[in-house]
This record gives sequence, structure tokens and C-alpha cells, in this order.
Amino acid sequence: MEDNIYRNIRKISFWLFFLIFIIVLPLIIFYSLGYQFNHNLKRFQKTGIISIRSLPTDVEIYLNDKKINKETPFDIRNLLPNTYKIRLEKEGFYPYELNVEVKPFFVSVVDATLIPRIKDIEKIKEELSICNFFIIESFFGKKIVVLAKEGIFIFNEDLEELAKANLDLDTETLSSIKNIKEGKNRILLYNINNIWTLDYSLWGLKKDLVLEHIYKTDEEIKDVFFGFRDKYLIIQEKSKIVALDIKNKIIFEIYKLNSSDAKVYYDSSSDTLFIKDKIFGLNTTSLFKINISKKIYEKVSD
Amino acid sequence: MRRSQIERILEIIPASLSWSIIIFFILVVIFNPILASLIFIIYLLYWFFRFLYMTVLLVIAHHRMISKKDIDWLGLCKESKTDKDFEDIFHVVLYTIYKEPFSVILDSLSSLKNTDYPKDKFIVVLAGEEREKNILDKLEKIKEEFKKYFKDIIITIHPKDLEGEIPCKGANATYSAKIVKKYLEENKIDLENVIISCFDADTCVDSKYFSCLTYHFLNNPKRYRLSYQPLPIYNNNIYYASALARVIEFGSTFWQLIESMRWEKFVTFSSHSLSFKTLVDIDYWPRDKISDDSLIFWKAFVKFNGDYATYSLEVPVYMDIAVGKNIFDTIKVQYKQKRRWAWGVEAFVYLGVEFLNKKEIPLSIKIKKLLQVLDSHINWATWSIIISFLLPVILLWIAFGKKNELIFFNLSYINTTIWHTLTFILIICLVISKEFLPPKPKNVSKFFYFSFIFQWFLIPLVSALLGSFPALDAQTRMMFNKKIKFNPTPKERINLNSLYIINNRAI
Repeated sequence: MEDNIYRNIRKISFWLFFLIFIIVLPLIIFYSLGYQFNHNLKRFQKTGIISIRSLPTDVEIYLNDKKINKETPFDIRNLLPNTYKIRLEKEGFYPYELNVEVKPFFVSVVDATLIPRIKDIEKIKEELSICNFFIIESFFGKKIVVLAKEGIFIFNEDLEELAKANLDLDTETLSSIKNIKEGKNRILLYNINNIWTLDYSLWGLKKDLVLEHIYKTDEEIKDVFFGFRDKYLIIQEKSKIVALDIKNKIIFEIYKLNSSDAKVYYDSSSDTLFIKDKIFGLNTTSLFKINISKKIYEKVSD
Repeated sequence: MRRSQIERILEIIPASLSWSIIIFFILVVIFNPILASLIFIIYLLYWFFRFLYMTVLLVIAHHRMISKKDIDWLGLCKESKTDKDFEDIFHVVLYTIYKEPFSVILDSLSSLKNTDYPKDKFIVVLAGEEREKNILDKLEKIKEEFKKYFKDIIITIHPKDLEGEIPCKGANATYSAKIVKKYLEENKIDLENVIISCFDADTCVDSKYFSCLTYHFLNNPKRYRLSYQPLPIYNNNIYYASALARVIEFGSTFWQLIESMRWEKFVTFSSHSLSFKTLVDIDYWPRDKISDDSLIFWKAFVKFNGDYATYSLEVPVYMDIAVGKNIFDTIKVQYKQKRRWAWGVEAFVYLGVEFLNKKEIPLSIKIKKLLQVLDSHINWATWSIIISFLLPVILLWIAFGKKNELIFFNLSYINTTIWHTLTFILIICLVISKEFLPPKPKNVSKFFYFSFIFQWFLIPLVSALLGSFPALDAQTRMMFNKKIKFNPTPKERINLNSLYIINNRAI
């Protein structure tokens, strides 16, 4: 091939690339900024993008109920400013639907996590007729405490039975249990007027536990805390806070509340009570701090 | 204004422009990221099309070289009917030598010995430096070995610290060429019939180099207004160089191939040839400049009022890949070599000064040439810093800042699309580079070919490290009037297949 031919190829390619560059550059700039030419209106329009990412990927996309033949991750470009309905579908997952507002020159990001459809439902012991249940979370995992007519059952996360307590409570009482708390070696249950405990050894749960009724009051029990290495219960009632020596069943009042809306927090690490309450005789609220150990020592000494 | 003052101003211009561009990009990234994104998109598109264009040039340059591989240039020379007779042409082959090992010089002379051209037309010049210990002894041994093959071998030893010189290749070459001129005159050889080739010591010529060169010299009516530039292929030690060094030097080879297709901008580089008469007319190579190889072209360009060009020869010369003792040393050696090449920006200063007093050259040509030099050097000093460092900064900022503006989103998109599209250039490079592989020595494992393919993935690293920094370094030094030294690239040849025997001694 003669040098002239190479020269011509070079010239043609130079001018070709130069021409393409000159033509493409403004189009790319407009496109990058979000302008799209509308052939019907013969003018540029401002557009935005919906950028869809999903977990899992390869999810079908519906835009305003119309399927687009693309799967996630995908960017729907050249959308005029409006609100669009996006639905994501994948077999084995619940559909994911949301409305997305598209603003001109902006990207609206959809980051969806689809929830898998439940295939198998595991049922707890068939023979139990359950009144109530609670979940206790601890460092070693979760415990499911089930209150049934047949007794109190403790299961692990795989619904394996860990322990059971026989009881003689009626269905109504079982249903009234407000909350359960776990101490170092016992669980306590309480409803509006009563507190029960379930003891288990330090070395793990005993198979057969004993439910013991330890406290009854006429006032409404608002909250209960373990205190003094679980030897005491700190009980917040409607008008007072009392301490209960679990072993000896001794009760003494620690603090008289001025308001029924008082908020109480017990810090078991320092055995300190924090109380938000009204100041006696005034309509103002303040925060009080009480060192319980000192208070209990005084009461026990009395 | 005095000449020295004009020179200083011109020395400051390239670095000022390069730094201004880089600082502009940094400021716009910090203060107006939206505008920065827009500029990056334009910049990326510009380079995208430039890369495509350069790929076309690379492919046609490669085609030109390959398609003319089998031409019988010597036969064409003999058949040429011009005002010059083939039989009258002599070649002075000048090797500038400084600390190159025996094996390197011997390989170069062996390649010269193996050319298809009549050897009695070769006057070989071994141009040593007094600064090298025992140089005369070394060159005498080489002369002894090869003198029987050529018309003559002349040894010249360039004295150190001559007035008006810096230690550089140009000073040595000029000193030698002046001695050769006397030799030619004494032997009644017409300078008009002599072609001088100034080679680095590691230059191994293609067997058809001199016949191709002579053919073009004979057949070109403007033979004294031309330099003849072979395609430098860095592959002499390719089987023993690291992947990093190979990629870098393939980049240099490809760049020269691309440049060889831009005839009107093409200037001499490294090993080159020209008429001895022209060399004398333009007063030889510059003796106080680092980049003598390109400045010799510009000297001629100025001397002949712009009526001077470089002809790209279709045959290659083979040179060494610059390597170090280890990977870090290789990077250092390569960096210094590229910085020395980038010092070629001194051509801008030279032209700027010379053009002032050259009324014969049209102003438009002067401006065009100055811009040509400036454009190539400023692009060299900035492109990889912008693309490898500043662009990723804004892309990371967009990614971590969760920016929802469409322009940011599209910058990432366009950037990814462009680089994905450009991967086909890598495939072209791989295919073309395969052509430049010499036969594999037996002691080299087949694993080399895997390494040869995967070396191309080093391009981003190489571009980032050695793309712009050496050029920016050179320009900045020039701006602050801190001249660089001419650091000859260390040449090492591991040749396990052969031993050289000189005076009955293996070396």
C-alpha cells in the first residue's frame, strides 16, 4: 500500500472522529444534564432517572403497572418529572411496591429488599392452648416463654422445650400477665396486681420449674426491676416504689411518688433509682436520684 | 529583551500551563463539583476519540511496517535510476557508548554485520567517553573482533568537560562526527554521498534497515531536507524484562508507531539517520542539550526555514527495555528515562528563541510548530494525573456522598462505558505486540506467554505512575531552572545462549 493511501486513511479517520466528536459532544452534555429531545414536541425536556437496586437482584420491574423488559439493577432513564408507581416482582418473594417522585436533573434511588414468601410454618407443641407469650433476649440467645393452660413453657429459638412449670392459674390470669423479666437465676412475671417468679439453677434451666407467687398489691404495678444481685425486686406502683426481699418476703417503701405519671429507671449496675416526678406541693417536674442500697440498709436496720 | 531572558520566560511557560490545568481541575472539583463533572465528561470524550484515532494510526502504522517487511529494498536500490549512484553511497554508523556492557555492543554490531547491505560501505564509529574507565581497551577489543567485516572501524574518545558542553549523547556524537568528517575528506569521500546513522549502543538494526534507508535516500529528490527515522522497537531483552517494564516500553514503541503516521509532526527520536552533508550544514547535534535526538530535527527545521521533515522508515531497529535490579529499581530507571524524554520540551524554548530571528519562516508555521510541541508536552504532563487521580476523587466523592444529581450519576455511567469500550484497544495492542516478539529462547518458560497476556492489565498502574509525573517533573524543574543530568539508561543483557569470544577469551 502506498504512503498516500495511509495518509488518506489517516485524514479520513481524523475528520471522521472530529466530526463525530463535534456532533456527539453537545448531545452527551445535554443528556448528562438530563435533557431529552422530545420528537413530538420538537424541543428538549427536563428529565430524571429512577435507579433501582434490589436484594435479590434480577427482579422484574413494573413502571406504572407496565412491565419493562429489564431486571434489577437497572436505571429507568428519560423520565419526565412526575410520580411513578414502581413494582418489583420475583418468584418466591412478596411484591415490592412504592411511589417514586422523579425530579428534573435528579436521580431517584430505589433500594429495595424483597422479603421471601414463607413456605413452612412451624407450630409450637400441638397440644398446648396458649394464652400469652414473651420473648426474652440475652447474650446466649432468645428464650420464648409461653403461657398456656397446661403450664409455663420455655423454648429456644428452634422451638425446642427447655423447661416447664406446672401451675394452677386460670386462663384469665395468664392472659393478664403484662411482662416478663429475666434475672440472674430467675424469671419474674407480673400483671397489674401480682408478681410471680420462676427459679432456675445457676447451672442452667431445671426441667421442672416452680412458679411462686411472691407479691400482691391493690395498687397498679407499673414496672418491676431486679436489684441487689437479684435478691430484691424494685417495684414501681402507682403511688410508690417499694423494695421486696424475695427470699424473706419483706417489703418496705422506698419512695412515695407525687404523680401517677412518674417515670422510673433503675440502674442495676449501681443500684440507683432515677425518678422523674413532680415536686411535692408544686406543679413542676424534676429528676431525682436515689441510692437504693443506702435506703434499703436504713430500712433493714429499722 | 536579552536572549537569556526570553529563554527563561519560555522555560516557565510549559510548567505554568500544566500546573494551571491541574490546579484548575482541583479547584473546580472542590468548589463546583457539578461544573467539574461536566468538564470531566468533555475531557473523557475528548480522550475517548483521541484514543480511537490513535488506535487507527497504530493499526495503519503496524500494517505499513508488516506489509513492507518482504520488500527487497537492496534490489530496489540497485535498480534505482536517480541522480545518485547506489555504489557511491557510504554509511557512517555511529554508536555512542557509555558504560554499556560488551554483550550489548557486540549484539548491536552483530546485527549490523548481518544486514543485507554491502559491508564495505560501512564506516563504523565507536564513540566512547573519556569518563568511562578503560574505554579504549574495551573498544579496541570490539574493533579487533569486527574490523574484518566493515570498510573501517573508527574509535573516538570524547574528552570530558569540554567547553560549551554538558555530559550528553549529543556532545559525544558531535565530537565523533567531526573526526569522521576529517576521515571522509582525507579519503576523498563526498559528504553528499554519506548517510550517518546515530545509534544508541543497544540499537540492533533490522537486516534491511540500510537498504531501505538507502533506497529512500536515493529516490527522494529532497534527500538533504530529510531525517530518516526507523521504528524503535524495545524488545532486545524482552524475555528477561519484568512485565511492568515490558508494558511501559511497548507503550513507547506504540507511541512511536503512532507518531510515525503523523508525518507533518514527526520528529527524530533516539536512533536516527540523515545525510552527512546536512549534519555538517546544521553544525551537528547540540552539545549542551539533553534531548539531542529531537533537537537535531528542529535545528535543521530552523536552518532550512521550515523546509525539513522526518521520513518514517518502514523497517525497525530493536532496542533494549530499560530495566532495574528489581521492580522498584525498574520503576526508578523508567521514571528517569521518561523524564529525560520529557525534557524534550526544551525544543519549545529552542524554537521560541530561534523563531524570533527567523523572518524567513512564516508566522503561521512558527505558531503551529510551537503549539505542536507545547500541546504534546502539556497533554503528556496532565492527562494521567487528571484521569488516574482527579477523576477517581470525584467519582469516590459521588459514591460515598450519595449525590443524587443526574450529572454525577451520568459521569460515573459515561466513565464506565468509555473504559469498557476502550478495552478492545487492549486487545489490538496485544495482537500487535505479539508481532514484536522475537523467537523465544529455549531457556525461557512457556509461562512467559501468560505473563505477556496479563501484563496488559498493568496499564492503569503504569499510566498512573509513569504517565504524567515524569513529564510534569521535567517541566517543573525547567521552570525553576534546575537542569536534569543526562542519565544514560542502564543496559543489561542476559544472553544465556551465547558467549562472546574476544581474543580467545570468553566474555
